[in-house]
Amino acid sequence: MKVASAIGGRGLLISVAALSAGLLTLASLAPLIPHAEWPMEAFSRERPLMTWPTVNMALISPAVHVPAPPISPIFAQLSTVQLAIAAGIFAVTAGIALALGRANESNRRLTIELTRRNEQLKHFQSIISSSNDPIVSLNLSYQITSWNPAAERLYGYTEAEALRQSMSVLFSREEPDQSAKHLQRARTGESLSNFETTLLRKSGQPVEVALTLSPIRSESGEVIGISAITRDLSSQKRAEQALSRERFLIETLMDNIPDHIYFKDLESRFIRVNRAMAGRFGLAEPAGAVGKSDFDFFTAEHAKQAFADEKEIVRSGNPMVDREEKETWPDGSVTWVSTTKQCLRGKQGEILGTFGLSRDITARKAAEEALEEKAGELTRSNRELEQFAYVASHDLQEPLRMIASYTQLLARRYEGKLDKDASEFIGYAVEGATRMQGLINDLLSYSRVGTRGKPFEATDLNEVLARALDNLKITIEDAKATVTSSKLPTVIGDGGQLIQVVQNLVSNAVKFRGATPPKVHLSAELKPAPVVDPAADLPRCEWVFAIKDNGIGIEPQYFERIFVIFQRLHTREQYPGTGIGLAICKKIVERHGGRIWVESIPEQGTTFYFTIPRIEAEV
Amino acid sequence: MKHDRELEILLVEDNIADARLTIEAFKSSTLQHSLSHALDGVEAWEYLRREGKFSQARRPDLILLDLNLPRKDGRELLTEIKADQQFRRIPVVVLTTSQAQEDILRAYSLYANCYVCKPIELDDFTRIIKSIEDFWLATVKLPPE
Repeated sequence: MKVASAIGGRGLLISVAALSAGLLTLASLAPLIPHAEWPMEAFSRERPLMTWPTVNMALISPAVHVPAPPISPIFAQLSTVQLAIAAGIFAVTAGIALALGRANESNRRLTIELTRRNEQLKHFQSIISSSNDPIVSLNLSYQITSWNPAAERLYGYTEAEALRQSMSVLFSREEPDQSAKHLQRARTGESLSNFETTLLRKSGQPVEVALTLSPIRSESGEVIGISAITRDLSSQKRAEQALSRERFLIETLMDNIPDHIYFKDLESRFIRVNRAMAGRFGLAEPAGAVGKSDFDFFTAEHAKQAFADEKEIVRSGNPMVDREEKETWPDGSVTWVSTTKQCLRGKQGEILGTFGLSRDITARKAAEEALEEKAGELTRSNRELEQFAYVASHDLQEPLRMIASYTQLLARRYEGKLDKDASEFIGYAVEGATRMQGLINDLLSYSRVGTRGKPFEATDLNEVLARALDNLKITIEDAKATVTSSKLPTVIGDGGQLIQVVQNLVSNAVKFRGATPPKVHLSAELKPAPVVDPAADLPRCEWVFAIKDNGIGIEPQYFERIFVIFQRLHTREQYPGTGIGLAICKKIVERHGGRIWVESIPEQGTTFYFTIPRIEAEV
Repeated sequence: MKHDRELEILLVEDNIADARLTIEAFKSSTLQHSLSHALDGVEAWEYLRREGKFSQARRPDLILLDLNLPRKDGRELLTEIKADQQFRRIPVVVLTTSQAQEDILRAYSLYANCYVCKPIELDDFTRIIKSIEDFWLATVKLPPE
């Protein structure tokens, strides 16, 4: 088998053919030597008779002289020679066959090697073809010698168009020198990695790439070309830009927002703070806070609380929202902040620490405190006013009583002994005192609109009217007045004060009557409220109440004056009263957020209007 | 209704003029009575306890009390009288100029028997004094001493 494979297929065939030829020759000659004998035996027989040549002949020929006369010794010698030749041919052929086989073997080895190398080449070829990065090779004149499909796709030139072109066709007009320099360096054997540059597509459109140049060396180490691999940085650049933009936004926020923003680890040490916080801490840079904690900047009072809060946030996982904190500083100062803190979580939701925002509300707190103080002051002031009013009225009443009473006592005691004038004088004195008392009481009522005002609640105006009419029963009867009304609404207000208003207005309507019996009518209408301040959250509608009478009327020039305290249009003889009624009405209506005004035609009648805002919470 | 003895009235009033008016108003009464006057709460107590200059004082059947008094004010006196076993059964008529709701409430809360406002006009005043008289001294039954 080994021999067979060594010889090779063809060799084998040849040797077999040769062998076959030899054997065939032999076989064809076989009848010619029917009496062939072994040489030695022939030799022993002939020895005494043979000469040397005959002996030689006998040696080389197996066929020896035989008794059979038909065969000539030459014939016999010929067959031996033939045999010898056949053997020789066979040997030569075998030799040739063997030689051929060896040649085949080396051929075969070469073929195998060649195939292997071919496959390797194809493999490398496919790597380059399928690469997403443009791979280009250049010769020493910087001409393009290879151009992979990726290069076609990125730069737009087909392989046919690209080959033979100079690499410089790709260079942008802006920095051709740079790139040329790099090519030169590569040519000298220097590698260049990831050089960021802009190259041009066939369309002229620029593309940002990272260029890597490597010298191609021969086996002897000589530079025979340059390979250029470019990586398209567009998407990377876009991602970088997006990231950059994000960072820009965050940095802008962190650097500029006046609120304190901070990130802390699980031990409440700062990981990151914004500029405002760093500034507040007296640091030049936010980095200076990293690793430190509240304890390094605030006094323990605040730091301890913040630390405890953060431990709780981490423990519970819940945020702390809008907590008002008092920050205490080592220099003794105090600031107030509104703080929101939350857990800082990693990608798997694990808690890494806390982060938060603190907004300075010192000013707001100060304002709140000031407001509270003002409110307190107001309450105190009201109380004082109330007290003052009470005391004033009480203490003023006393002397008035004295004046009035004693003048009257005087009159009584010396009745008959005093003349008409004296009586008249006494009359005025008493009247003065009485009036004074009335005025004092009126002033007291007026001041009490504010100080004795009750909280607002739902009030049925129909009931209010009923009570007012009840209070005015005698007055109404005496004047033979008729008071009517349409259905009145329920409003949010102070019932007692509203009774005062209605009572005053109805009383006036009855009092300031003409010759005919007074007719008074009350009505109410819901109207849209005039918008004074669009920003303010005011009710949209208001109830407009009207009290219409058929009395003596009011001249237009007095429409405003009548609402002023103690202003009257008539003498006390004509119509009694102190002139406080409408002033009190105005104060009460304004306390309710409404307005009051009058329309009138002298000698025909008057209509007083007042508004009460409609609050949505009404029934 | 006639009583077998004179009725004692104690007027506690700091304003002499005011007190005089009351006295004058009482003068027209038909009842036999004696009106004593204490200027303030301290004197009132001295009177009740028959101390000092009031050693001859008799126990009042009615007390007319003004609220705003110096030294010991009317409300305080009222509290003390009504807390005292000896004197709390004596009817106390609060007689004052104050119409303030809180004063009225306070007086009744301290067990004043009634509250009367002094009117400005003399006639009205006289009428009221008369009605006090009529009611407390003539109509109601007073507790025995």
